[in-house]
Amino acid sequence: MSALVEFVDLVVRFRERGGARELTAVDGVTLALERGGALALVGESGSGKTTLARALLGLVPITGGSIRFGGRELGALTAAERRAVSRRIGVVFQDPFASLDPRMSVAELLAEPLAIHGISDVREQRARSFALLEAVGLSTHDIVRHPHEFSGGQRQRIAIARALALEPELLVLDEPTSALDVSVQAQILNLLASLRERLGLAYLFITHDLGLVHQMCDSIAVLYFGRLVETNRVASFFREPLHPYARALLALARREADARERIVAAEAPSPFALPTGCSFHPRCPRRAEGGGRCEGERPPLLELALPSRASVACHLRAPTAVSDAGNPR
Amino acid sequence: MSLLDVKNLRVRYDGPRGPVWAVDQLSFELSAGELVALVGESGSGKSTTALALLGLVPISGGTIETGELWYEGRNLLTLSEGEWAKVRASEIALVFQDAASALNPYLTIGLQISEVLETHRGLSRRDARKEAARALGDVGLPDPEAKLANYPHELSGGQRQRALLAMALVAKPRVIVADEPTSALDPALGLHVLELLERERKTRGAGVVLVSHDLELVAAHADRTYVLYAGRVVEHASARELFAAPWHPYTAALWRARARLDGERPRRLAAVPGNPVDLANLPAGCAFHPRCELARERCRSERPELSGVLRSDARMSLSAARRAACFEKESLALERPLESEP
Repeated sequence: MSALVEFVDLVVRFRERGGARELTAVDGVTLALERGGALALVGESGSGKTTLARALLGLVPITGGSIRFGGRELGALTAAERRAVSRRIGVVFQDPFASLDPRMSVAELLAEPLAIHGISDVREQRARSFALLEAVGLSTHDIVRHPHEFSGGQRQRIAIARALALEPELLVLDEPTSALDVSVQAQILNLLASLRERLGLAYLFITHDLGLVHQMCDSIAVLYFGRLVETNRVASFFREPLHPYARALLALARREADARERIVAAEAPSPFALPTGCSFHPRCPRRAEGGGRCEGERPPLLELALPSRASVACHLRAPTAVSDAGNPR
Repeated sequence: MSLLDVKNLRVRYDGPRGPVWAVDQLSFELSAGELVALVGESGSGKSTTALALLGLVPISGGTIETGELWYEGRNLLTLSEGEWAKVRASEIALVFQDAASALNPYLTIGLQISEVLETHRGLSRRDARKEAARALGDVGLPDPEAKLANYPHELSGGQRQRALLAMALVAKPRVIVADEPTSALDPALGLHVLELLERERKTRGAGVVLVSHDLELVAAHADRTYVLYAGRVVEHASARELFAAPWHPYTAALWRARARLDGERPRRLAAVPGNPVDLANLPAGCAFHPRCELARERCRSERPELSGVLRSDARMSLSAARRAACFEKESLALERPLESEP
């Protein structure tokens, strides 16, 4: 397998609105998503997971590093080439109520991306739209209806059909089920699983739902204040997460009795005044074991021995690590 | 004795497609120190029930057709709006997920909390400020003194949520209605909020009504749970019994449909078929029947009442208060538990 998406030492900085302060939303992230793979970006609000995806979609400017899609560096492309790449990436957002124009019928909602794809013949648009509706489990009769006539789950099916209209290689899925009723979430996840099998799509999930990660993904990347703290295969992650922060997230999700002891402070620090050394150290229950390194020195992301190919940025894990996975500084 | 006793509540909304009953014949109780969960999805009536407990149904455009809401020997549904305002300020407090809309954007956090303390606990301006800072520190806000001077938009979403919680708690309400209090929060903060609610229960016997769609949350934190569907209670049990061995097919289906955090992952999740209920277009009989695997002819025409299971073996006798509204509950109740522990 070859990489479909590669983030190479990516940095994204924002300037505070009207202020002088600068915020580093993505801080030297090196990460790859294989063709046909399913990768989860996980972290608290402010971790940079959404910014990373937005950088891939060309929605925020890159401050440093690069992004490659299908082996081509996005920064080196012309505007027309960049648009061509964008068509290979579909996006599904959290809120199907907000992401579909209420004035458009399903026919119009689907014709729009098809037209962008160069399919302007009305009969062909109609035929493609019927195929898309069937693919996402809706009826062809639904084509004349408007978004408000559908339930949340059905609207998310329309949003998925729209994303598929461009025949993408990658779907970026930003919390695709968190606004849906519990009884409907499983329907949508099952639909996404079967579409991936049938179409060979790659998925990039942005989520805080570790149940979704367990069910849907092959690999996971845990971000903390813009930095990767762990990358892992999903099966290994759920057996034994490597980073203390990842361990805390999993314990909280499982509602383990000792979850409280896994994360010292409930409140994350301000992104404008990040702690020295390891950003997680003020909340880390194990920082005393670091002998001052956790407070003083930023841990590099190190790849562990094969076969796991997991990587972790933690001083307490360093002795077992064998090679530098990038992300030096 | 119950702290709160809701009887036969029925709430109507008149919409463009005719009247809908968002809550229908709903009864439940809350004791001092207890955390009771109302679980359900869109159209279940859980949020309307929360509004009713705060006397906010009329403001939301609804009408309470029938019902009683007993608190401290008074039926609150007979109160005037002026009397309700007093109850909301000091007896029954609401904490909900959208903190941004619950705080006044033009007033500092300090002023909003101090105002509650001055009005309802008769504190002086200076003491109220001191107490407000203490309350903010108490809910885990860093640098609480400085936060007093902040406007709501200057705080992060998680901080606003906890400022709202601090404002609700300073009046020391006997009943706290928490509508999805953690769903907008990062997990560590969510746990912190639940710990704060638990402290209010343990230290001064406050009762908490937790309104949520999150089954895992409810299984971990509730004492008792009412499962709502189409405005009615379809199952009532201790949280532990409920998920260990649900009686109602809807509860069982919801619990099975979750994506798990452990074990082998199934190739597909056990999805609940169909769509959440449409109140303006309720099916006859049991409202869940179009989505139910066990539905029979009777379920399509007749509505099952909420009742217990007639059995006398030891396991069932532990469940004297258990109820489910399903004609097939006996067969479900006798099945093996879905899993040992939630």
